[in-house]
Amino acid sequence: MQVVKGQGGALPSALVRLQEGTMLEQFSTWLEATSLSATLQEVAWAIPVLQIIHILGIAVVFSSICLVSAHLAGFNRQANAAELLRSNLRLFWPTILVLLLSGGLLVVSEPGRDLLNPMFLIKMATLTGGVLFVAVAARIVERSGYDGNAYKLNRGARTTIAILLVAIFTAIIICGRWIAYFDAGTN
Amino acid sequence: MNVQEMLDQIEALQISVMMRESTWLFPTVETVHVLALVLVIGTIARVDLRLLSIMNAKDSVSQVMAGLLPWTWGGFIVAAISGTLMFVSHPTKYLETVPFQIKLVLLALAGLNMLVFHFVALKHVGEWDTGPTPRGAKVAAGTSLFLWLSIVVVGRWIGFV
Repeated sequence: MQVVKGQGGALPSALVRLQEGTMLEQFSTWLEATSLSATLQEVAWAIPVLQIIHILGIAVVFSSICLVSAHLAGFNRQANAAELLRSNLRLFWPTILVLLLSGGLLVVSEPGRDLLNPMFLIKMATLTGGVLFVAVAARIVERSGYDGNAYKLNRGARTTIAILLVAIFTAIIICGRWIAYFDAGTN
Repeated sequence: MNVQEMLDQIEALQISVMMRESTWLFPTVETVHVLALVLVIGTIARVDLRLLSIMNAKDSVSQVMAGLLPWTWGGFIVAAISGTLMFVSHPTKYLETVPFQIKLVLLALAGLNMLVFHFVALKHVGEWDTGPTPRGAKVAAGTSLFLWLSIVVVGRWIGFV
């Protein structure tokens, strides 16, 4: 049996998972009982408005990811590399904050639907990886520098970054959409 | 053949039955629709914001449009195909739904607005490509932003009906 370090010493991994699951359930129950959660559920327009803000934020982030990735892979050459990356990063980070805020409030409004849903947990893990990857990839591209309108970073590395960016953020959107199709607490 | 008979025939198509009965097909098509839609919104809003001189104001309009519109059109074609597939799953039900009816009208208006922009304002883009945008183009851009935002709103509304 695989053993992992849990609180208070070595515990079987299955027990740790059970403990974590119970904690998540307890947190979800507590969150659902908060006045903020009750307010969000009572105000009829709150959830639709939050969802619309969330989808508009996704539109900004995903279009940025696609435009920068296409440029990294060698398409739309007439755009200036440095300017394209900088202007999209300027949009990306504040929009991620908007997404975290709107998404966070959506979780508070229906904690059981999200926190106990495997798709939501996969989405959060992928989102964390995706955001970190954007930070690292941007640093790699910017540190390697530019040659006029083009990148100094070799094409193989740029294409790999581009494919990973599009794949990760597509996966995040897929998981987000599929939360609705997974019953909370199952699987 | 009246409209209801036509809708019944659509509903009886094999693809319609598959869309209704498969556990994974509708969610998959809906996911593709969302991916395409966010691409359309994200790129067309950038074009509109450039025309309104709010974003990338120092870039030429034709350069901004050349970089963005292929994404908008690609996304729109995928969204239209996936949207049609979702529609054929329950055509009668969708057509009776108010937000769906509004969405169709808004899409038609967005298309009309784009046609007017292309054939009127954009005809003389050489005269204002890097300079201030003329009023007509700004009105078209503002209208486009409003219509696409409304399309997202009613699209979400359909999910609640």
